[in-house]
Amino acid sequence: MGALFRVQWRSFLRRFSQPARSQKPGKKKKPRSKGFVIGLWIFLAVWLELVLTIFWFAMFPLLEMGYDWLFFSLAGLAALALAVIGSAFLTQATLYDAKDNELLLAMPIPPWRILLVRMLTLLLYTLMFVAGVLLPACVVSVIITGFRFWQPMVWLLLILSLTLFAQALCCVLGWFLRQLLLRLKNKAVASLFGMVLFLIVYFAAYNGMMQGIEDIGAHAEDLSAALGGFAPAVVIGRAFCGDVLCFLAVVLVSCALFAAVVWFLAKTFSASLEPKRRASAAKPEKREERVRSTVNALVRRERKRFLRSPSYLTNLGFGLILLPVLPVAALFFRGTILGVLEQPEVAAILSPYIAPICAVLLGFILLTTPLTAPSVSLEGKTLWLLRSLPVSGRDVIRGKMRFHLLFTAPIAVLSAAALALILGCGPVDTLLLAVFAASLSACVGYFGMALGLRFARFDWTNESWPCKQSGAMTASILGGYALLILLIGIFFLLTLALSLPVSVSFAVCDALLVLLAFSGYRLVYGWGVQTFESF
Amino acid sequence: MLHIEHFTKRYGGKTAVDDLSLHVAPGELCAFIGHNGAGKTTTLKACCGLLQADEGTVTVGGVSVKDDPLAAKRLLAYIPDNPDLYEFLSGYDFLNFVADIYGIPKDVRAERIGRLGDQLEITGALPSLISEYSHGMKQKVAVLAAFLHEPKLLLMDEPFVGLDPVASHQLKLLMTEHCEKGGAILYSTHVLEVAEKLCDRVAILQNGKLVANGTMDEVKGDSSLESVFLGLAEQKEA
Repeated sequence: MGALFRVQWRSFLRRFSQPARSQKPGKKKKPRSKGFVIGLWIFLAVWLELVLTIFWFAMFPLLEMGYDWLFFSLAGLAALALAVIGSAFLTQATLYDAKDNELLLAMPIPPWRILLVRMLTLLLYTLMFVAGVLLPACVVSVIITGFRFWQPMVWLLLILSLTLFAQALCCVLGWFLRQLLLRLKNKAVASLFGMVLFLIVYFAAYNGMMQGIEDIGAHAEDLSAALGGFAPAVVIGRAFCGDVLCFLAVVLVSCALFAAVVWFLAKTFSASLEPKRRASAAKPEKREERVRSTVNALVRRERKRFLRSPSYLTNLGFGLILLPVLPVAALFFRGTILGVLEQPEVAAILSPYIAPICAVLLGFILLTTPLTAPSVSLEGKTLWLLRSLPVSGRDVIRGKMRFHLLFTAPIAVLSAAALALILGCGPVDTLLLAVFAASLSACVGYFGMALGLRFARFDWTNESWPCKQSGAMTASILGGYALLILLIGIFFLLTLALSLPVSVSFAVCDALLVLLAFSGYRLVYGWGVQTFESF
Repeated sequence: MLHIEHFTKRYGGKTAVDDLSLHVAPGELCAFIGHNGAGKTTTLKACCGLLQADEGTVTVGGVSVKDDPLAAKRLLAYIPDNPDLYEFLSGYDFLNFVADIYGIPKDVRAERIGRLGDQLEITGALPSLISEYSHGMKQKVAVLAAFLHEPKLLLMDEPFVGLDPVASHQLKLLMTEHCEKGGAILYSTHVLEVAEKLCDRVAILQNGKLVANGTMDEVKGDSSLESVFLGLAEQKEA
């Protein structure tokens, strides 16, 4: 058990320590800047904690009105919901997609030990979500109602118990997901639609909750009546307020549920790894294939990988679905939006800024689609193929870039143009918005590619690492947001401080993006090609 | 066809291959033999450009692997000991990808995939995703992909591992036919009986050094290849 845990823990730590850029044995690896990735995580954690503290401060009337249990009920349920959303897909991938599952099962190790060891690292992720939501709520409670000596120990045990509870829920969801995936032909597309459905439900619930906490003081009684009928919520809430029986109930139920889930998963572990579809079942078919150029063959390979990898598609394809949703939603609510914009006091302020606002909305979505960022690491153990075939590094990079641009740029440009037309922007603004979408798509692709090369690793055990947790993905998305915020700053500087017309300021931002995309192009086809060929 | 001259490869302080010189002429089938960690895989990888030589040169058909890797790779095919293929592609998709890279015309690729697929008994599984294949099926697809562009040089790292007896037999036939047509093969193996029957040349590597190299008759004489190999191993230990 100790040996298993050490292997798992080393693998977990290695994700944050070495770039492992080379597969070549004996090649000396550069000691790596852990600082950058750790810094990004700290920045993200601090930012989230600040946001959540502000959120819980908005609910302080509940504490003042004596509804402490309700306050903690909401906090507990929010923590569980966030943890389950954040870890369910990762749990499935970590437990069932790990490439060393068969190796470990072939050894005299009981399945429950393998699962438990894998869960220890998953528990850290879940704890991050649970503690991330509950700690700010506890801080707000102490500030409003004062400190009591028992609170730190009781709250700590409750946070740990709820982490076990959330992980057990994630495991159950992960198990169901696994059973579904085993029976599906195209797991990737099914996963993406599952995720979209999941997030629609989540946002509907979130929207309902946000409406409920508006003027929380006035709604406290209704909310109390509503949640009062839901025993787990009451028990969690009262446990945080110091009710001994409820505290014991939360701790015992969480531990028992976790143990029961581990037992169940252990019983079904081997069966859950057996493929339900066999290659021999396929019917022979003769297919006419087109002859493609090298780069087109590489683009096709990237496309197939994207559409058939559940981790790749769900983590990076979601934004591609959201992009066209934006103009569809604008069309659906066109009357309401235009009604608001036609009000004289709003029109005076907002009318000139419609296209830049659309650009920001599109930008935030487009930045979640750096298809090139995990692409190099995804070569993994198949890198030998590209290196033994007569393909140049330049062609490989061209294939990856062309795939990114073909998948993101047309959707982004069409969505931008549709959004502009629906909201009544003029031809100049429409053109500027389309250029913005195209150039941002190129920037995301080129800099995602550069980061993918910089943080490339080929020794991952499941695809969720390059697609979700890698330094390339983190840096790519956060760096993209930083760029967008910088552009917003430049835009307002030009418009408000230098009094340039909005269209001119927007055009300057577009020009900056085009320049940036060009420098990304130079970087990727210079340093990037050399780096790829050195792997 | 393959000229390895004074090839040396080091991993950190350890010399994996030391001053190896080996030639494989067109039409020759050369077995590459050695104990685990002797340097066979390192040598094969260097021949196809997966590893760079620290010293020495490797040329394929007169083309330096270091100076013009793409031209050299067009002349060869490599099958690794553990064929990790693109699991998100079907067998057909993978073979067509390889055919596209080598620029094989449509009709030619269809004929070759059909013929080789039938020979290796894999045609029926080609529409399925490679992720659903067994190890042996992946090995068959890797073999099929390697023969697809009719390379002048085949580099194979333990190609029989995972293959069923029928596929092993077919692979031996394919290898022999390839050499009869003027192609060259360098393949590593631990199955000395097969090497003895199949190959006309043998090279034995020990701790990175070439200790025997020549035609099968020159190396083994009247004894078996196994006894020659074991004898060399004992000499080394002594």
